[in-house]
Amino acid sequence: MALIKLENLHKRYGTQWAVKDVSIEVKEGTTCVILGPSGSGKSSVLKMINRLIEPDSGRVFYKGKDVKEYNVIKLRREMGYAVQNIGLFPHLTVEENISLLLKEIKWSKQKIKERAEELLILVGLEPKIYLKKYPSQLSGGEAQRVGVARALSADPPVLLMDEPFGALDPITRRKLQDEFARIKSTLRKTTVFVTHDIYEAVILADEIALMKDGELIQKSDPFELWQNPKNEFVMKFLGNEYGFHILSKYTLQSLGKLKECVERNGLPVVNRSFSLKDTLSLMLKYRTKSVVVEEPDKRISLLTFDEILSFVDKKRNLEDRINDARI
Amino acid sequence: MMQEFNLPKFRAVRILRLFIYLLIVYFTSVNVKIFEKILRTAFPDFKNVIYAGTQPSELLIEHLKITFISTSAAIVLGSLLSVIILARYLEPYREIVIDTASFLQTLPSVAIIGLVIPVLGYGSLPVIIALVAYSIMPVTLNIVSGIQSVSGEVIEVARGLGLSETSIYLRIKLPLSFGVIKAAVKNVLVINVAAATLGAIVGAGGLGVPIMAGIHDFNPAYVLQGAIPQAAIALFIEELLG
Repeated sequence: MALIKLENLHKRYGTQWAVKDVSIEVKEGTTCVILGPSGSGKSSVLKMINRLIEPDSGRVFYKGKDVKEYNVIKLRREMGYAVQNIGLFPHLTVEENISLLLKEIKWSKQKIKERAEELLILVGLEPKIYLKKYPSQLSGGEAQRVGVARALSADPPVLLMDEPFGALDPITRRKLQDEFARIKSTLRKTTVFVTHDIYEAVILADEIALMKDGELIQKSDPFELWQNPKNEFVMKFLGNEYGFHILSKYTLQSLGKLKECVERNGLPVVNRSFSLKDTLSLMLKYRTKSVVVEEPDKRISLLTFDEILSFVDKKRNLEDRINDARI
Repeated sequence: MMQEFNLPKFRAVRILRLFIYLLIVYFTSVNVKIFEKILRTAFPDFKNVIYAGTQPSELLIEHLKITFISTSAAIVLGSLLSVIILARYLEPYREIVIDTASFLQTLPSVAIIGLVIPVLGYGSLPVIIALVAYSIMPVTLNIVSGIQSVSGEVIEVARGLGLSETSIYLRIKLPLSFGVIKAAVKNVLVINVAAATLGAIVGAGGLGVPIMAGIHDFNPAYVLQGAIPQAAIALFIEELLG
């Protein structure tokens, strides 16, 4: 069952539609990325889930119940919230920022302190150094990590993230995206993530909801979006590079059993943790159609370009089958 | 950010200044022997250079009493008023309330004293009421504008995290507007230190007494006796809360 269900949401500011007939379902434990250019209404949709914005019409369901039937404070405490930029309270230390909500829900001092330390370690910051710092003493990347830690503080079942890495420089952003992908997979929270960064969408999403001018254009998993873009806008927005983003999401782990070989024959050597994208890149660099995979048990096997091709093909057919089943 | 500006060097200078202002008050209102000698040298033609009607220290205490009672009352009432003004369901009336309050501010405090005396008679109460009436608006308006100046995005995040409105007010809005509110309190205190001089008109005492007497007797020494400690107190407050 869908944990979060958006049903025919509309919101208009003056004559301008901010959100027009958007319906999205997010299954428990999955991540839905709302992707779109700026001004596409994606943040507005997100804020309708925790009722920071009320829709003009349409309904939002959480655990099968209309969010309007919840006490709004209790509803929001079920949903961790992280935003871009200045999300941290400037007059409070890192520790106070993280523990603000915990104090309010009457956790004991000892438990709060332990939780704050645990969360900082989770987001990759050394508690001893950072607990007592003020937001103005943090770099952009550090501040965003604290923002994520704060969103996780009360261990909510849902995470709402509004371009949390949007204001960072490209290198820091990549690093945080990859780390967040790792954190996310260990926590298994139901996440709604708003972004305009296509790479971010691909590596984080189970499903991508692509929006434009307040409307939902296409909603499907990242792979299908690549193979079956609904129209020219989708194709243009994702760009040709999109395919590589997809390939960077899969490691050689997902290829299954490969043909064993004995000789390396001077071919480039990779292991199972390499992504398909990196493997392809190596093939191009050494102008070869095959590489040698060093298996965890030290045996070696041969991976050819055709196998990557058939992986995409197989995956595509699988998507087609799922699609047919949906119709 | 706050600690960065409180460098030890600057703190030492501030403490030194505060200490000097206190010394000035002490030697012009408590232990006046040296001050008297200086005044005698400066004004050799006058028989009395220190106002004889009341002990200098008593004048100081009266003055401080009037100033701090009226300012404290203005802060308490101003905070309450600002909460009322900021209440969401009163939003349509906010402008009207602020405009009316600003208009009241334009009445001179002497006029307010004049209006209050027939009702309450002489003494410190009419002065305190006049000062409260006069300073309640700067306090209120600064708290209101301070709180309104807190970034909407910060408040939205606080709401999104699931903080209650009360706790957003107490833990986010108030602390973040603390600087503006502190400045308002400082200004009101400085104004009230000077305005408390009016107490002399209605028999409330204070440092205005020697000033009035000096004007009446054409004795500049009396005027200085009231004015110098008053200025030192104002500077002290300015430095302390600045």
